[in-house]
Amino acid sequence: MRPIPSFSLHRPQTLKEALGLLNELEDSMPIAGGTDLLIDLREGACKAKHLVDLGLIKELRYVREADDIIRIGSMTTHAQLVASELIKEKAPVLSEAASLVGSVQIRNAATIGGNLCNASPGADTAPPLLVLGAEVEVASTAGSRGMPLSELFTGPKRTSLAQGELLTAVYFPVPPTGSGASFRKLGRRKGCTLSLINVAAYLETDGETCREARVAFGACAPMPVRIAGVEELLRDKKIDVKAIEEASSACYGLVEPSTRAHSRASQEYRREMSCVLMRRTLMEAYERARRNI
Amino acid sequence: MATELGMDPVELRLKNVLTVGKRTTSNQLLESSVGIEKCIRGVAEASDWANRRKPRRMGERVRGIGVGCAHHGISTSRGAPDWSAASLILNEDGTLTYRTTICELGQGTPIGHAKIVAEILGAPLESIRIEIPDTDTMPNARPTHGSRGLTLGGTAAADAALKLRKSMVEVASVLLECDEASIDLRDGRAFDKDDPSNNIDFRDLAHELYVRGVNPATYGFFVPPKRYFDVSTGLGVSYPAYTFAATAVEVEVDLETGQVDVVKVWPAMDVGKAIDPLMVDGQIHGAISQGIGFALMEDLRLDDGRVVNPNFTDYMVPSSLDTPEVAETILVEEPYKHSAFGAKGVGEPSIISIVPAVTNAIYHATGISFNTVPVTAERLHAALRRREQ
Repeated sequence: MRPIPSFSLHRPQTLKEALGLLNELEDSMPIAGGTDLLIDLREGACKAKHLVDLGLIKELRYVREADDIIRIGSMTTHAQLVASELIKEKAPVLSEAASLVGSVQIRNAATIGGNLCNASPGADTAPPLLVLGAEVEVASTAGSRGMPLSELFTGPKRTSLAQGELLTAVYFPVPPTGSGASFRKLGRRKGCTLSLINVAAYLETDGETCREARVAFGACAPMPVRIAGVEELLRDKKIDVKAIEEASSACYGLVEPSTRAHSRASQEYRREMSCVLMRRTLMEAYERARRNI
Repeated sequence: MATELGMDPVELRLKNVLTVGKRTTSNQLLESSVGIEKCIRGVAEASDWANRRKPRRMGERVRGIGVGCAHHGISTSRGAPDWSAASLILNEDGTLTYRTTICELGQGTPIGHAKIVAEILGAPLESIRIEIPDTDTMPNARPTHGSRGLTLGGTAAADAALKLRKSMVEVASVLLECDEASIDLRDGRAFDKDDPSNNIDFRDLAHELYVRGVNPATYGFFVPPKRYFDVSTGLGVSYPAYTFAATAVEVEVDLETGQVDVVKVWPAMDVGKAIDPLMVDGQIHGAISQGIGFALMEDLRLDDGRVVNPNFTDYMVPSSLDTPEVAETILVEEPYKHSAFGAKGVGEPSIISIVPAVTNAIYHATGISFNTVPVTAERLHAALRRREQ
């Protein structure tokens, strides 16, 4: 096994200190849980002379609700998300997705900020956050800004963050009464597996009408994506099993999975599974929405 | 084949199964220790086979059950010479030191040897120290392979223990002033069977062996009966003994995704004699997990001779969540007449019947037969699609 090239490790205690270090140090990268980054460093997929460890920054580790907005600090681990009663009660779809990431050890180390900034096309927390309408907060020494999560991803393992910028939080409105969401992933085994494809669906219903529909896929494009074509088929229309089946079948032509030779699944299989998983996820979201009155 | 004949797979196997007096494909006459029929009947009964052969579909999921059989030779193949060796020292304090060059790989074979020694000498298992194998100081016990570690190595251990027992009984009979035939060794003491109050513990007995100049160390050696095998015709006695196994497996197939969920496994094995039933279970349970990996996911992918998945991110092995419910092992004990207590090996035989049982269960559930593994979700899905067209 190749050794990890040497680097200097910096361990700031505050966000301000961390932003200062990232700004000053040449060839520096932030490290959160390190479950993806250390592998990338060893394989030479990325290089860094300085790693700025965010692990000691307590102000980035929280889950809280205020003014009908749920905010999650970027250094919150998947295990902490799964354990959060607030998330379990108000956004269970995120709990479910986080519980299916990697192994227990990975979930104890890996953070939600890391999962998003690693920008894997199959990141499991991305589809649920996309359908929950999440935005992210980005900070640098110059200040902080917010942007929709969808604008964070620019390609496989690429984000719109500039050198010196840190993702500090992800936040989304508390889902209203009459809404329901669901997440499914297809892996190559039951546990500790990367997603060949993952999907999240979110529905807001009012009687038999679908007021809002948001669906997102992972591992079906260079980045996690919302699928507007499916959403339009459902939004402001009568919703029932037939409508869900029709919207799900449309996925086949709307997703564009990788055709890479050594991809973990063929494009054809992913296309077909996008329809199956979309139907199952929409059905569950629909049932949850109907119960959530 | 069962389908083409319109026969039940269990019935077909029972009709053609090896029994005592039959000959193997290499024309070897099986004289004893053939427990496969009991294994097949055992798993069929335990799994409620007849009832589970009725198709059970629940929405997009369908269940199927399959059976697989195995026999695996013990020792070297094609009649190649094989032997084993062991050494045993009765220390002056009454404890024992056991040496073998059969290696502990996590399978527990040397502990099996120690149990054989403990049984023969009446010594507490914890009084036996098993040394780390050292081929410089020990006659070669030959490799830890071919599921021979217990059958060959354990029989050499028994030989060493029987020789030491003879010396211990001889000295004990003098000390307890009774016939050698009246000496009983158990619980770390030598007893006069006719008067159990007349006894001596191994510490004192060992000391007396040393004082009286009776050799307290023995070597054991074992060679199975000579075999003849003609490599030019492929006929003859290939192995001294065979371990037999049968496994029934129930799967649940997701007809939309092609995913296979192994629901339950019923294992049976003719081990000759289970020296340690818990270790037999351990081997079988491990093999079930490995067999499921073999059948459903493990796939070493090559591109122009280069391995393209040289890591556990892309070389899939089953996780604990992929491990099914495993029914109680059906132990069949048809002893091999030349080995210690009749024991036959368990290691390799455990995995063989798992893979065909899984693929047969997939066939039962879907009507699709696979002759190559792994049956990944994508491959099964593609096969289901082809059939639809």
